[in-house]
Amino acid sequence: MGHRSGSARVLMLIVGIIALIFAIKLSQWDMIIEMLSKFNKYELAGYR
Amino acid sequence: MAMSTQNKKSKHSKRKLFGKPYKVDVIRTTIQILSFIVIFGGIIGYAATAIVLPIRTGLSNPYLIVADAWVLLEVMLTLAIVPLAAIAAISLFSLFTGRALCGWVCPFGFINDVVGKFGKKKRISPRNSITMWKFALFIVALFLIIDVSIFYNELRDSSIRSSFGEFGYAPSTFIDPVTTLFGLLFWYTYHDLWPKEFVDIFYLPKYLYWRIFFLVIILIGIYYIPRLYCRALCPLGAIMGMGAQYSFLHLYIDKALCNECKICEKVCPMEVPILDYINDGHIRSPLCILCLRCLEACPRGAIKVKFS
Repeated sequence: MGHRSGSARVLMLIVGIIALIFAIKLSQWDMIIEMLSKFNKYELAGYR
Repeated sequence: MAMSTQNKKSKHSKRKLFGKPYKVDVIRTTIQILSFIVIFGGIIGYAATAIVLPIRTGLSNPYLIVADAWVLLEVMLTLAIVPLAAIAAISLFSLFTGRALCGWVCPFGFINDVVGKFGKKKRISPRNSITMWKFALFIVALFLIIDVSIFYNELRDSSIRSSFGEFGYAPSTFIDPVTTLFGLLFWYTYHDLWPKEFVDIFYLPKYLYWRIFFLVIILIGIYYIPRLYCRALCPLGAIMGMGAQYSFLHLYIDKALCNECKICEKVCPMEVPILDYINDGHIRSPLCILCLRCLEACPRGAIKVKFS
């Protein structure tokens, strides 16, 4: 495995884990459940 | 060895002639159907979960129990929230599984496969397939610039979201057949909003015509070129493809066993230039969805799955 792919993997892992930790800390999951549970028009351009 | 190679080669030609499915295709289709049912688990009574997956489903279907990482990323950015959950899902899944979810779980990928199954299966060259992926990357870059601009201006209290009209919350839905199919068309049917009289067809919202037109164009495209959407337009597929080049889970081609018969390239639905990776051995293509058809088709068993 070359340095380039090694660095890319480490970077992706760090970004992924940090994002995951902060997403949990900021309770983004509650927002996701709310988005999925309630009717919203975010992606419904063309809806009446 | 030579005999077995001969048998496998003739099996391959029979499959081409009579359309007999590969065993792995049968398993994959079964898993895709089960995933489809679980992802739209509201139909069988499941409640929405906080799971974010890098698959294309949109967000607005009421039966969805998992979130589409791309639409979530866009909506959160335009709402001036850092889309951490989407970033985590995209980076971790692409690192560990590559684009395997595209091939085995994604509902729109499944629709691509179903439409492609009855289609013309026109082959384009592996080089053009890579060019298509680069085009998809260009689309991602374009919409990310728009999303980040909206995000930045929202933070500075100088909103530009209204400039994008109805597409202000998810600009990529302008050319997105997934949200049209699973969201817009679903709600029109659910709320019974389709015109009752013929003349009412001309009084529908203007973007509905465009979005249905684009959906039909994409479905026709998929009919002629297998997985056209996944290769050339899917924003999530393009991003996952970048990560898939460094993925732990990937295919490996053994140079000592390969006789470069190119059967693997012929059966690949994404037309990955597999033999380009023969010197390194590790097939870490941005297009590979790990459907494993090449693994089954290889007459010499030169292709294996690796996690390293």
